[in-house]
Amino acid sequence: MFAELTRETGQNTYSMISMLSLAFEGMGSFCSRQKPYSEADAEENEQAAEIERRIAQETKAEQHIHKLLLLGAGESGKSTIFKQIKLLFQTGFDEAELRSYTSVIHANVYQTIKILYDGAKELGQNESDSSKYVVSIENKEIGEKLSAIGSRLDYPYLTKDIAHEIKTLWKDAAIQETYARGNILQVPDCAQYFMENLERLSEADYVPTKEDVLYARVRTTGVVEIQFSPVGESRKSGEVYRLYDVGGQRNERRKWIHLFEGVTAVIFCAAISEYDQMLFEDETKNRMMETKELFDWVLKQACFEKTSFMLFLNKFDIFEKKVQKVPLNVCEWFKDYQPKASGKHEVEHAYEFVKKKFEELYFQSTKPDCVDRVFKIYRTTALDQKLVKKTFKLVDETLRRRNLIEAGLL
Amino acid sequence: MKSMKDILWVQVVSRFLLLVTASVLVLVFFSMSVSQPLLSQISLRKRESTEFVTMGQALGIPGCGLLVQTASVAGVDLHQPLDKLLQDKRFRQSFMDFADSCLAGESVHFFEEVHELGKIPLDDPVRRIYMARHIIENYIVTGAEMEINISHRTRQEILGTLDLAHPDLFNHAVNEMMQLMKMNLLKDYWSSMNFVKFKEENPRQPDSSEPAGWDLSPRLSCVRCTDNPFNHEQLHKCPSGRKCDV
Repeated sequence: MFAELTRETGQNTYSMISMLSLAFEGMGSFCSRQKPYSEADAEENEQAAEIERRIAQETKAEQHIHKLLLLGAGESGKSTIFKQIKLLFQTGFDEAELRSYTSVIHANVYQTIKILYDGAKELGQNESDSSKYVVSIENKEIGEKLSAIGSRLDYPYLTKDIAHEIKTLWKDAAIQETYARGNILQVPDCAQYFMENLERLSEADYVPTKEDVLYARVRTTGVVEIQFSPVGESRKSGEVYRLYDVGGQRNERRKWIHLFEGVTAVIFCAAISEYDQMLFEDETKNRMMETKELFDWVLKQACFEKTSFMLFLNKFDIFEKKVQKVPLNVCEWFKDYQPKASGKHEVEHAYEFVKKKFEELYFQSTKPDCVDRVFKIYRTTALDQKLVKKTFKLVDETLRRRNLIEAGLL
Repeated sequence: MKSMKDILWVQVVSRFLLLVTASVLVLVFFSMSVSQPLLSQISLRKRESTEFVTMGQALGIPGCGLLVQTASVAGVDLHQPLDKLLQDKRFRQSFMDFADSCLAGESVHFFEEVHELGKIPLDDPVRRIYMARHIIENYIVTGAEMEINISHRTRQEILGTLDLAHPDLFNHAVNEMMQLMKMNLLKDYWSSMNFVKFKEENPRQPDSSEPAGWDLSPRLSCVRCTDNPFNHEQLHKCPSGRKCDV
């Protein structure tokens, strides 16, 4: 009887399971959204074929476009390089575009003087020898007024009067002392240049020069791109570059990932003069340390296994002046630096030290199977048009040679 | 004879027991949250969407969320400063779409949400705090998906505040974002396809002039983003005339 029982149970379970599964299947097909069934039209087929053909054509054309990315931490010079490329290889800046920078330049002036005046007040409260940061009585009123203007949403046009006041405040000893401590504040690099040219900037019919535009400081947000063809033989072969400029602050970096596919070369900008400065978005972090970590992160990205890396050690002009006053050791990464000489030799020695550090970092962060990717270091000053042109020519040559090697022609 | 009767009895009982067990299991399955997708598939009741698109809608702030088609007044004066221009819903939507397309949308979204926060009356601190916390979690906290580009001090000010309902909490941040938008995004917007579309959809008086733009917008015209955090459709054509994938 036991045998009968088990057989019976077995049969029942089996039939129950098969019934249930049938039921679920039925339910599933009953409930699944019915996709509209479109008849295959001869015309539609033809249209689809035409679209396929066009896509194939454009994909082929796309392959000749080399994608270049400008990466780097905030204020490393990416957008300046971007502007330089526009000037060199595109139509350059026409008067309308130059004029559009007037408001930006004026904004830079107001922001700079506000940062300096507010900074002087702060240093005057916190520092031990606070007296040297106290602005003179006559200039205090100007300072308060300019600080208030600087916090407005809309800045007034920079008139001769305001420019004169700004110049007066700039010349104040306390402000100059504050400027000397500019590394702990977020003073833009263009500060001195604009302050020295205030008379010209405040002309009624002021049109910014190319140099003014290159100095103008705007944080980039999002992504900007241009397409250009470098002059020379490559024009015949239809070599086209598409250059992408991005924001460098931490929040902007999460957007970079959208650009990482199919990149021919990464131009990584590192401002070597920033070894004693803190980040705009995190004043507890040293900029050089941030650049070091960022470069490491970029090198380790899987999609860049075959990508060429061009490292631009930028802001050499500022580095030159700074390294003689501020030792490299203030930056943790360079703490083993030993100054050898002084003057010009010192600058070269310091530069070679920094370059070596970056090279070491590169080889540490590069996996063995990526060792044959191109890696070149260039000393740049993004503001110097001739230097950027020369540098980019070298970059272009390297990439073309690489291209030929990959195509098996070299 | 007796054994035959027994077998029949066993059959009935075992089948009955199996049926009961199966029904119980089915009921248990459908009561678990794991089955929700299945349940939603087989539910014959028409589901009303009770989801809110924005926090503003959830808090019941009037006039936010989807674009409301207002009676067309005389066209927007495009020479106004940006903060005035952004008060106009149509302009704001157009500018937001442009910003989203070049991966800079968080600034405009932030501006809009702070604007909505401003609509909550001061004597309603609970809703203000909810909205403020929502904004902070989405835009201010380091690593937030739509984290905005503001200075260290401004961020610390907001994160360290003791009064989330304070009306001026986000003033500095808004100021910085306005400067960023004015100096960086706005110029590129004037020469973008979004602006062209905006002009077509909002024809203005013939005597009002437009801000000077130039032909080439350097902004990103086509990026293949499989993961667009701003969830907006991109309606742009690349210079080659190809439609962009999203």
